[in-house]
Amino acid sequence: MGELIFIGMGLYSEKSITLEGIEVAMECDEVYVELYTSVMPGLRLDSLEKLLRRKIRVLTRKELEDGMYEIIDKARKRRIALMVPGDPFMATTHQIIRVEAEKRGVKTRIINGVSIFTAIPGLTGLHSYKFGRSVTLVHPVDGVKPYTVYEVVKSNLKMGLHSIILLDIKVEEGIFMTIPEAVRILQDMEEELQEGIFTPNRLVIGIARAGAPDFVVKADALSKLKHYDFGPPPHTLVVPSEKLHFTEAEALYVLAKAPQELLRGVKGWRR
Amino acid sequence: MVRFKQTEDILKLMKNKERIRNIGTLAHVDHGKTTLSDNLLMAAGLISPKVAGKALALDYVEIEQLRQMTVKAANISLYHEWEGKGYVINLVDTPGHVDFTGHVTRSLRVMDGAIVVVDAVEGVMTQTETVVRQALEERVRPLLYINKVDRLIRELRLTPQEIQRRFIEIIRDFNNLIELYGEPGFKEKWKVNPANGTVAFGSALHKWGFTVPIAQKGGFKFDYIIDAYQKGYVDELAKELPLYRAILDMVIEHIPNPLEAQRYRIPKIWKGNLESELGKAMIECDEEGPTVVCISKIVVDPHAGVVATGRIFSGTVYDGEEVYLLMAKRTARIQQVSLYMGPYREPVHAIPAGNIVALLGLEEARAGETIVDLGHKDIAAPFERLRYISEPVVTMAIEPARSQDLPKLVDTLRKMAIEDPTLHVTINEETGEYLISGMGALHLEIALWDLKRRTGIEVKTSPPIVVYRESIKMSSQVFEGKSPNKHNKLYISVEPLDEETMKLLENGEIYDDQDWRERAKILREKAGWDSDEARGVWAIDENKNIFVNKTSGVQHLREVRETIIIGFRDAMREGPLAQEPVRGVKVILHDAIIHEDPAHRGPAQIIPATRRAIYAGMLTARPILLEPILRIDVKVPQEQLGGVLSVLTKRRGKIDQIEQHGLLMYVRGEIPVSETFNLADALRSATAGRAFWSTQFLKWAPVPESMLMDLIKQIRRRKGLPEEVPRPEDFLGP
Ligand SMILES: Nc1nc2c(ncn2[C@@H]2O[C@H](COP(=O)(O)OP(=O)(O)O)[C@@H](O)[C@H]2O)c(=O)[nH]1
Repeated sequence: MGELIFIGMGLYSEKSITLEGIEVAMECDEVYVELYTSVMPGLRLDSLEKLLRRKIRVLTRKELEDGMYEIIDKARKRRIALMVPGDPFMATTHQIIRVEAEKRGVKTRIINGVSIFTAIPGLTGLHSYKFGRSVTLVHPVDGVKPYTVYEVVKSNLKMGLHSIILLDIKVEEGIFMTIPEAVRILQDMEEELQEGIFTPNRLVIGIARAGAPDFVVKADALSKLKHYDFGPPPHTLVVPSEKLHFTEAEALYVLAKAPQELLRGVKGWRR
Repeated sequence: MVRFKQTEDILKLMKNKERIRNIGTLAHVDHGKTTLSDNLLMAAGLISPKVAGKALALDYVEIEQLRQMTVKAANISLYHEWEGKGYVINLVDTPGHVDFTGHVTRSLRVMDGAIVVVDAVEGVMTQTETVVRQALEERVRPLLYINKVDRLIRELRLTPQEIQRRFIEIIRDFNNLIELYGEPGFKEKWKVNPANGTVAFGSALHKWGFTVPIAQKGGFKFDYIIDAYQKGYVDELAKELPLYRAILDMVIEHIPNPLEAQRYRIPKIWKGNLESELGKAMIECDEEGPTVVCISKIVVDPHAGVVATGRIFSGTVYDGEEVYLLMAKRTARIQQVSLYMGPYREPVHAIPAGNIVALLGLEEARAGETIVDLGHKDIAAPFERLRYISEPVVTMAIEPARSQDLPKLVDTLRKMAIEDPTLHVTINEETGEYLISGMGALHLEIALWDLKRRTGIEVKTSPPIVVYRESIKMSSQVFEGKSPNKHNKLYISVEPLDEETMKLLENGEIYDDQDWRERAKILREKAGWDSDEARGVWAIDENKNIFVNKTSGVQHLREVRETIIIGFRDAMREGPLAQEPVRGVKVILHDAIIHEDPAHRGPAQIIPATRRAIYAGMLTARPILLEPILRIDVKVPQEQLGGVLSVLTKRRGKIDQIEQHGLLMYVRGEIPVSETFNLADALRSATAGRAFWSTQFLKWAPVPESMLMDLIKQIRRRKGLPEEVPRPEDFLGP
């Protein structure tokens, strides 16, 4: 009997894959890996092949999207693994593939991996139950700005929630948005919309290479953040709620070197 | 005699608007336009002592070089004295062939008068009609020059009375055109009349010519000319009655100077606000006003780069000036300002309004560009709105005979495409083949000739191939287009554009980056669109298709609007039947579901979703191919009429009209481009070479049903596509 198994690979390198993920992948008839949605800074394909003791086929976005029904079809008879950076169901296509497979009577299985969403509360000390909708910041297309990001952060702030802003990565097109680029886009939108969301003094946390040994976390005013050297991608931004708990403030001060003056209004936090 | 003048003297004249004339020559092909320009250049072309260099007397080689310049110069400045005063006459280059309609209009825009050359034997022909009509549309005054009069004398051996009758006939035909196409208020004044010197007669080949006032002043009778041919003193004629004098006297007296001309021409040729500072300055041809230059021609010079030649309608252009290019939407710095001395450019510091100028440094400029003062860039209206982005109808593959010539070939083709926006150079990504496309087989022939002249490279070409258009005959239902990640859906239907709307698109009344309110009003009032649809127009592509947004309240639509438009343009560039361009289709977006996260609704998702729905729609809406049809005019002796008719009907031609004019029969008909590739040989052999004929693009028409499927297969095979046309389901997915 065939099966389609989604394996999350985690954040950093082939060693971030769970033991279960490795064992299952070793036993599959075919292993595909998709690397276009995210960057795992320490992953090397040859090391992964060595670890799994087998050949792996890398799928481009087009191959996966256009070929999804063929892959599903193959999984009727064979055990197929689809390995994905982070957790498999953080990318949109995979959810669809799973549902389409099940609809066609093809069995599916999930082996989770660590994702940026689980890493962030740890890196920043922000409470995990206080995160609102997340959103991806993309480059403006033909001058049209990504207003959605503005709306999402605005509504999260209104409800007292933190916002994760993923910065666009399109590996195949060579797009790796960095924090300075992102800050510029956000400030451009603020200049146009003027609703006080991405003001120069807004406290924002920049995160680089979450899950990697050389990760960087730095909290500062939005306008200052773009002068900070975060190193290579992937980069992420977090906009913390305006209603921080004092334990969150303390964590930001200690872990993310947030400047004191930006935390001064937090009730119960004193230095 | 070529005029040697100091650049400074010419510059002085250019500051006095009364001493400037901006003209061009227009003609049916072969009627003698080039030979006339040669006459003018050789006799009155300006040369600065610098260019002439050491030898004041040009030797033969230099004369030959000078003559070649007439072929490629964007402008030739002439000097002529009339009633004791000196004048600068700018002879603006006009295309040698009217296949490239946009080009003619572009050069007309920068001139105030035109010499229409008519062959005395052939008389007024189709292209004469076209160019006179176009001149009148731009409020350019046409004057008549009847050329090749020597042929009436030597070949046809007509008597003076017969010659006179021939002249009267041609003048009558010419004035009929002015009556037909001229505007009230102009056509009365602009009819030509030999008695007042608005018609010249002559032989460009033998360099003589006269107007009636000149003949009267000198006491010449027509018999004298006949006598000159009979007794063999034609050379004397060229001295006593030089053609250049007849033409230039006529121009100075009857073509308005730029100050007079701009008063009535600007309101016609410029669509901006006439009450604005810019509008007023142009109407007054004000050298103190804001800079406005209209570019008529681009030449890519091997040393200087892009040379933009155009007319200054207002202001004074300085070197180093920063200007704005309205069509390219760019700021640029003028690196050099030149005036023309004969065909050569001479750098100067500044040139005032009313003159023709050559500008260096505007790499992004293309023919038809409007250049304005930086301070007026947001309010200035262009003279032209990409309206002539041409629709190529014929294409051929081209490769050098020796493969090492490829880089040079490609480089030159690129330059030619910059100079001539109707010439398209593309590379077939799959085969690596270079394709050149243009407005007709003749257009490509001329381009190949030019290529050879410039590079000396031998090339191999495929036979010319007709470029078809894809269209539809019915409306489709609404189709759902899914993005590859299946998270976005667009609901789209297609329908044919009605005739009225097509007319508005064709004559440029509605266009892509138009103010939407203005466009909606025109669509409602002239084409009966309902107001929601008229307001919902998002895009108009260069092949005349319209995208309409009819949705309301769709979330995130604003952020993917541009991407949807790109998808629309892509689909229109290559239709579903045979990947030929699409024409005359209205694409309507009814509803959409757009993923809330920007990462999942990028171009790679939205573009295919748009294209898929459009293709599925088109394939269910009775898709058809359109083929280009030419108007053909043939003049042929009665005995050979049968031959002409049989050639035309055998080639799917249609005869619209047959008229008798003296001994000649005039046949007017239509013929598909695909049937014209060896038409010249066929007509020659069917009429013993006695037919005069010409063709011109007329319209797009559906390919007959009986040929459609075979033709589609043939095109698909040629392009290396699977022979079977895709089915609608192929674009819908499970
Ligand atoms: N007999 C005669 N031939 C002429 C005269 N003017 C031009 N031609 C010839 O007509 C042909 C076409 O002339 P050309 O100037 O190239 O025409 P264009 O196509 O209008 O530029 C050439 O062979 C010329 O030599 C003329 O006045 N008399």
